[in-house]
Amino acid sequence: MSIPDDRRALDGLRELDQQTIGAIYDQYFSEIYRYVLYRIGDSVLAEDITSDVFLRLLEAARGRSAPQTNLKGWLIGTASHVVTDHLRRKYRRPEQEISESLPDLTPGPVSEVDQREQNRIVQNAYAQLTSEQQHVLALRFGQGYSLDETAAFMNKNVNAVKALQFRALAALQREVGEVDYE
Amino acid sequence: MNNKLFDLLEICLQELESGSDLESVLARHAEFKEELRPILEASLKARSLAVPAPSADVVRRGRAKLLQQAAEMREQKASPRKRMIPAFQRLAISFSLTAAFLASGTGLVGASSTALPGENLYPVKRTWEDVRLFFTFNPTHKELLESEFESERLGEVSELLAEGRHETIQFAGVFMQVNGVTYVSGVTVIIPSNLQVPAEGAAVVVTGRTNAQGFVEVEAIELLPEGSMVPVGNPVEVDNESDSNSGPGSEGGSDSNSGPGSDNESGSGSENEAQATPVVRTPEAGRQSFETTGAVQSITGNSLMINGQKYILQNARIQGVLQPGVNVEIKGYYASDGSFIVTEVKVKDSGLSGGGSSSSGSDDGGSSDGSDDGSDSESDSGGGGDD
Repeated sequence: MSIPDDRRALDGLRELDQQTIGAIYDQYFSEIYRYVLYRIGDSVLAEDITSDVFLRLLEAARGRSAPQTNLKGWLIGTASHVVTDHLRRKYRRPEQEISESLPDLTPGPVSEVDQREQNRIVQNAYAQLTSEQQHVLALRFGQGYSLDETAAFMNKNVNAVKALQFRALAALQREVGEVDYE
Repeated sequence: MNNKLFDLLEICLQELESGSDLESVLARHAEFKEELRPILEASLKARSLAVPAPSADVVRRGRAKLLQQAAEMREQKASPRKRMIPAFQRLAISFSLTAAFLASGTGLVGASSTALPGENLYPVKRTWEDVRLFFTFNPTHKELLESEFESERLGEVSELLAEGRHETIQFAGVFMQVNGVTYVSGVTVIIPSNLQVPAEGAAVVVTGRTNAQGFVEVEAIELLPEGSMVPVGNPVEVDNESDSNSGPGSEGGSDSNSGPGSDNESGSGSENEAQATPVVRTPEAGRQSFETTGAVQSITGNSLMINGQKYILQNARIQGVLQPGVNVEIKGYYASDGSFIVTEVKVKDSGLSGGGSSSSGSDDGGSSDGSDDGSDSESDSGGGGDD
């Protein structure tokens, strides 16, 4: 089942229609999962958090906080909140180094070990950024959304996003440098 | 400056995305090369963190989990509705029944209004009373209604006794003894020796059976708390003049002259009524009461016309001789139907002032009563009117 428009999907969602829910999931799960994994770098956790985002969608659809028109925007926004919330809790109760839970993307030969180490460094640097900086980088470079799309998801104007991404990249580069020397 | 750099970064990012390499992009924007380099390098690192799509397993697991949750939510959503429907139906039925009762005032309910205990329509009558009470929210109106229904019970007992029927009844009233005969709000009752006789003037609830002899055989008698509102009933008639065997109380002796000590009421001098004077609150208590004085213009049945206003005597306590022309002080309450119910009449003077018609009949009774009352309070007015 394809989703001709969000409004129709939302009607089906309110009725907890199995087909509509399945279709929404199929359409958006991958995108949301990738966003979450980019933000937290842990595939197991990303799976849980993404599932949580969709469960929240079901609950919201029954209540008054249901998305009105833009389903993807709602999902991205909720995912961002859930991740931020998770990270906040994690900072309060530090458990383990983020490097240990880096996504094991392509286990492979020796040539890729450097790449994985580089990823670990960048991931650690990324984790030091503010939530908003992480969010803009995840949307622009993780998801590959355009400037306009990113601005829409972040409820900001394009110029604000331009400035934000500039500062976020500058901060990342700075953090990578610091991490690199550690 | 900064804005230009932000814009330039966006241009460079798009060039990188379209396949240009970092050095060539920087070469194209050589004037900002130094500022742009670290930013663009960082953008490449940020892009390197991008993750591939989830595996099919991850997607399948998430999907199953979500659909299962949706199914549970559907069940939860359905179950409260099941409970809600009967509740709503009950409410709807209640309102429909009430509406039907209200609409058919002349039908079943109307027909049941005169039903007596033991008759088929009597349960309808009582149910209708309950419905009316249930839908009366004003406390004063509710109290009035309850009092009205209590009076109705008393009336039913009187009717059953008049018809000589044997029925089980329960009613509330004021207990009193006159000449050895026991009464509850004017209804003669026989209390078996195993039951304790209540104090004079006590408010009681009697359960018993009516009989053809015109009295109630008490099976249980329960004292109500002091201050309970109960119907007073009709005054008990006691004949002072001649010996009167007072009906069912015949066991007290055929010639029960009220003169001897059995009559403990000091007001025995009143010509023909020993008043049931309850200590308890009478039905008018707690209602909108009234009190007025005036000359009685006419007496018709149980109603008085005073100052152009009609007043209804209902179990009224009358002090003095009530006849047209006398000045009276009356007390009572406004009934729910807007009528004035008189519960107490005090004849202030029996001397008819303005063109009073018949003053002769008031000689004996009026004087005796007048002297009693006049000595109490209203002596001056009584004297003035005698001329």
